[in-house]
Amino acid sequence: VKKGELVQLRPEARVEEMTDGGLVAACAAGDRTARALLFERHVDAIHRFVGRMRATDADALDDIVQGTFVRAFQSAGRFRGASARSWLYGIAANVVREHARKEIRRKRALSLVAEEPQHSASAGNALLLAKLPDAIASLSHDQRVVFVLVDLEGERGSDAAAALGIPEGTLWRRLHEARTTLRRALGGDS
Amino acid sequence: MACPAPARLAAAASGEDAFATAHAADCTRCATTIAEQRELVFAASGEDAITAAHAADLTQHAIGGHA
Repeated sequence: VKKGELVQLRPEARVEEMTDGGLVAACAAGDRTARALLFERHVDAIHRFVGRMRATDADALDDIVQGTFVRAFQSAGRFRGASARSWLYGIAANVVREHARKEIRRKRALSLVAEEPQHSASAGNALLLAKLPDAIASLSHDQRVVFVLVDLEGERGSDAAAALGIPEGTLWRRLHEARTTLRRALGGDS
Repeated sequence: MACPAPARLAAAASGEDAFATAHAADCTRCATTIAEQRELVFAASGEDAITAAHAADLTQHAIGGHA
């Protein structure tokens, strides 16, 4: 080492080895590699979550997933949580809600009439599973998002509540209502 | 003892409220609610029919065990 030469005492962390928190911070600084990696790490989970929230319409699904990450990159500087995935779920839930509102306005404007899906009769659990997507779609947004996050995606209640910006008690109350509604829709008694 | 609020039974069905779970051990109505919710969650999350049937058995056990 020559005099006056800068010596790097600690090598920079490789972006592939960064924690989610570090990745989001790098995203906030505009690091394109970090953005690509954050997308790669979580796109499958977000895609599945959005799919469960919307049930159908593959084009809209892709738009919403992309919109979720675009918004995440724009707001990365405000990330304060511990779980990037929960944070992304929260953003995706908002994008789904906004997309649904736009869709309603668009359909009204075009006077489109949605065709009711047809289901063939089958027995037992298969029938329940076949009816489930429509039953989930019939829930209110607030009920659907907690059901998908906690019961289908397996998020802990505290994480899901933080992602949605609601008290944990509110989350569980909505989940109770969602499950009760679904049981009725699927032929349960409660 | 008063029964926990529905929100707490929902948390218990997700395994996140030990108090409500303990209460349900002595309360047929709460045990049934929790078991019914677990049955739905098992089925909805794509668990196989055996798991769902096991949840249904828990419901029957809760009802039968305290009736």
